[in-house]
Amino acid sequence: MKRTLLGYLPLESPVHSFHPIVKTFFLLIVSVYPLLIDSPDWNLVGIFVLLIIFYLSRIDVSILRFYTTIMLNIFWIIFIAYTFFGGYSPDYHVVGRLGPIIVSWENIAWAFSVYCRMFWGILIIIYFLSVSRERDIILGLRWLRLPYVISYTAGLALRSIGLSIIDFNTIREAEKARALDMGELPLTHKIKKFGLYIVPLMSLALRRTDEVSNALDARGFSFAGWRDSRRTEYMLSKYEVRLRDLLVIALMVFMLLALLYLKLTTAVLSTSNSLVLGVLARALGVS
Amino acid sequence: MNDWALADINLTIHRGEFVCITGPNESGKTTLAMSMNALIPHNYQGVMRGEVLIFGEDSRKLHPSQVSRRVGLVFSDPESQFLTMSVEEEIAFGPENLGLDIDEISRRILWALKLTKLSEDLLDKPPYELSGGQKQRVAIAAILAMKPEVIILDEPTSMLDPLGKAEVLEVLKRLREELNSTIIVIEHRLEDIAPLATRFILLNKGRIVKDADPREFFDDIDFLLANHVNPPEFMVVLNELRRGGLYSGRVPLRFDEGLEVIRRLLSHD
Repeated sequence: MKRTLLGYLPLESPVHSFHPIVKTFFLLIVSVYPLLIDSPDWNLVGIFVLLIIFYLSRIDVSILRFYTTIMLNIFWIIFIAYTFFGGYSPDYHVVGRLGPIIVSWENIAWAFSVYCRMFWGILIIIYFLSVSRERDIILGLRWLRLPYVISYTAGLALRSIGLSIIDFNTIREAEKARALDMGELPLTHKIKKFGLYIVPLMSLALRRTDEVSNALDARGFSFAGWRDSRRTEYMLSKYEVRLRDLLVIALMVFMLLALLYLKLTTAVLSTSNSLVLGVLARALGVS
Repeated sequence: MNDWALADINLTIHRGEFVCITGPNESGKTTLAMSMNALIPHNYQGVMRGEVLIFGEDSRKLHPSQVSRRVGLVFSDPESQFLTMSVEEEIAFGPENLGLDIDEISRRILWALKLTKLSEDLLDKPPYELSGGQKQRVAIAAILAMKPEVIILDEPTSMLDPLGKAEVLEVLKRLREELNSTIIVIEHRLEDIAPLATRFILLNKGRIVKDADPREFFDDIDFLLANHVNPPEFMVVLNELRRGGLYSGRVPLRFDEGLEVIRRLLSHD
């Protein structure tokens, strides 16, 4: 198993054989796809294809159950926001009323469409984090000739998420050891005592910043403009871009261009021809 | 300003020395170490009077990243100095910053691994997943790969269990035997450093109270105890025997030598 940002990836996974730049392009290019597609049908197809890619990459798909609560919460937020506060136009199809709030079919359709888009987008990020190590992000960005300090900061930022979670758990255990169990308190007390988490987390983060800064100096790191010699790309030299990497990147770029073309010149990706929305409309009695 | 972290420090470290700096907590040992590689004054706010010359140049005019090419510093907490997510990247990080060519970096990684007795199998592992002793050895290897002329180790065994401590001490022995570097170790516990170091410096309340070779340093055990330093226990025992008139020689530096002295004393009885 090789450790990734979100867990472990089996050594047999075909993803290991790709250059880090392929993963970087995956994040940069494929994450744009949902933004171009309004139709829930195509977003659902994208979700289905991505789940197949999860399987082919040998990622344990059961990890997605950890995100069920988040996805449900996102669904309710989007549904409430669009359905009850999405606005009203006289040509909208009214489905119901809640006092002064008019619930219209168009807002429900948009809520569903936006949710499918967001679901696919989040799945893309989960996939990227499940197959990538911090090294892949840094090397991918370095391959694109971004300054080392930017690529290193990106990797450090991602790593700090995990470190913050560890710090948070440490603080919680320390508080429990001193008879403060936030889990037992009502919500209003939790909010009031939120500072008891934030202050130690911030001070731990500042201390870690200090330590990283000292360690960087102790290893001779300095910004490009201050250095008298070029920084060697030793780790980047260990990876070679091969034909299969170029083919996958080309495929991703081609898909992006195709989606752009369809978005700008046709109604294929719009909600007007959506079968899923058609079924939903009939279920709600909208003509 | 009465609370100086260091005061009246008049100290010269010569090339090739193996120096042990010791003293009680808050005596200024880490402050002294950080002054030697320009982290103080550049990374820490405070008032600095006097000068620290690193290879003849004022540390105030040098940036720590420049100094690190010649003076390496290993911190006491190995995790606080890990910058990457694999052992290989960690050891390569310093040489990459020096702009060395790829083959040279590769050679240095293997050389540093050999010197610190780390297996090549660990190269792809995250440093956080290693044992305490392995972590500290990776931190030492990461500095060694830069081939500094001076290596400072700030309490390298303080956060380690006995096995980890033994592993790091073994590395220090190899450094002393195989490298021509100047080595400065800050340590509380002296039983293992006593046979290695060529010079001992005792700091207390920011001042140097003793600076001597090992024999002279450990000859006055009472002075060390009065300054809150714990010499090796066999030295304390022999000191008591000396105080009681049962032994009149010098305090040996090694445990096996001390054991031999006690054996001879018992056989005379």
